[in-house]
Amino acid sequence: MKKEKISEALQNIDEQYIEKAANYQKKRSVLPIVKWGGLAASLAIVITGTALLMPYLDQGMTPPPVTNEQTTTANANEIGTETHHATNGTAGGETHTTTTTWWNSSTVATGETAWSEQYFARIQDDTYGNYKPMRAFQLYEAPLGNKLTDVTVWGFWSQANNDFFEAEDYTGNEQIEYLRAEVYEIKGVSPDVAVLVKYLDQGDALTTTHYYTFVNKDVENQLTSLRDFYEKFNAESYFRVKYETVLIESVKEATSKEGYYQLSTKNIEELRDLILSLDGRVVSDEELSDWSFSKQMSFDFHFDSTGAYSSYAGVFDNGYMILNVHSTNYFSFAFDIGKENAEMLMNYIEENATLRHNEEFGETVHMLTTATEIVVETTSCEND
Amino acid sequence: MEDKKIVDLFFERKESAIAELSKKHGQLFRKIAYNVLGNDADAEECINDAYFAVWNTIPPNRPYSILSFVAKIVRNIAVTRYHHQTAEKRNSFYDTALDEISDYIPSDDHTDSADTTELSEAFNAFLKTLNEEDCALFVKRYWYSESVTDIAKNLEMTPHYVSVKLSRVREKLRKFLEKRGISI
Repeated sequence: MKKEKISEALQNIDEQYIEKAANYQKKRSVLPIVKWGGLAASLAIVITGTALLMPYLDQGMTPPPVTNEQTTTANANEIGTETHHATNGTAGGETHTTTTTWWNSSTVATGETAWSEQYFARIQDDTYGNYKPMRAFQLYEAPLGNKLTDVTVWGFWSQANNDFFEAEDYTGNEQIEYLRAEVYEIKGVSPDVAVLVKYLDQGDALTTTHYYTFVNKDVENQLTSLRDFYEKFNAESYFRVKYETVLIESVKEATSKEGYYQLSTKNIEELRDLILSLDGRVVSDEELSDWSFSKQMSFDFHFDSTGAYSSYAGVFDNGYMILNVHSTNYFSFAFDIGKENAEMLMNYIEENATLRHNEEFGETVHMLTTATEIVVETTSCEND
Repeated sequence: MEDKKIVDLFFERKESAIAELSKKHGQLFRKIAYNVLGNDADAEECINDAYFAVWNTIPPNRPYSILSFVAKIVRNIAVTRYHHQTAEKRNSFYDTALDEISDYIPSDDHTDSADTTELSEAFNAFLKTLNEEDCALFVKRYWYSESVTDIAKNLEMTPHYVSVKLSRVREKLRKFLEKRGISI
């Protein structure tokens, strides 16, 4: 409690100190010979560095990240292990491979997660043409199912996903890469909602060693119920609670009260079972535009078959449950699980988990009171 | 690219703003997140969330310093995420640094203990009394949650020197707060 108060107080120190500390360099007197020696060394580094970068600078490409890891080659058999392999970009004709136990930016193909211009891909196939590419790094936990078909994928750099998906005619666009690829099932998951793609040709920001998840962009409109969602994405195999903590917030007249609950291993399993035992109808966008609640419970979860790297759930005392999954693309699923079930979940946490702290925040911006705001908020900042 | 130009890019709603921001200050933001969360994967997610948040808050905000503006958002998200983490994951520079300083903040069980706003104001007033080096060391250690070794390495000091300086600064902080009757 004391530490949290100190942390929060420190958070609000004057920005000038934050900037000054970031730029602070120790002042000391420097002998001329040392100074010039340092300059000469710096020049040598600049010249050498520029020479090394020339192949990339010339092509306007980003050099692959430097890694000290041993170079390895990934293959399909490695999916399902705790080791994740990714081949970085092939600028300069070189292939750099890193090994890691979890995703980080250096394990993704160069430019794959760039913000200014993302690399998008669209499968040229009547069945899978509307599937959106998600990131690849979850795949070591998404076992490979049967091969479905051979396809061509159009790879494309764009600032906006929708531009790419909504364009009707790509004729004459020289930036498009035409890549041969194979489409696979995600084991136990309906291909109607998600598949894996393995490229046979190397793309500008794609690898031939990953299996990329593609999710049907119409999936939000095709679901009939929460149970349907669970079955299609095989929640039984791929859903699990991510952290040991659940946040319960209540709001009354613009005042928010929140409590963090610590879950035991048993609680985590039971919460998962309770979540997976639920059913409910799909809540429409119209309904989400006008509703309110006074109590919310939220927690993070993994749902690997959706291709998401980050997911969290909100359960509201009006009976709604919203499941958000996002990666390079974003999906939000809303269901009406009933007030009694929402209450049951919150009661379960309050009665079985351990309250870590419960603090009155006074006038607050922590809570949002309509679902419309929540949807906007969750697209921007998942845990805020 | 100058910080001001990066802010202009946000106002023009150009997504290259994020790329430029990341290029210029990304390493620092990643370090802040890493120091709190203690692992690359969570730090990376945190940075992505922070960039989303920045994209949605500039405009209307036009920060005087985009570095500290974004750094604050990163730290805030990282700390929030930190509290969601499992107990065994909760072992970072952030926790160590907080442990270190909390012993120097006077405790008070009474209801008139300082709230976070008062404590923030006290921190600001205290930092104003420090010389440039002490101020930088304090902020690096307790705001950026940098390890003593990292601070020493980056500023070309010895870890021992940094430890001694920080210990004196903490002592100064205790006296400063006691003198003003601030406790939590």
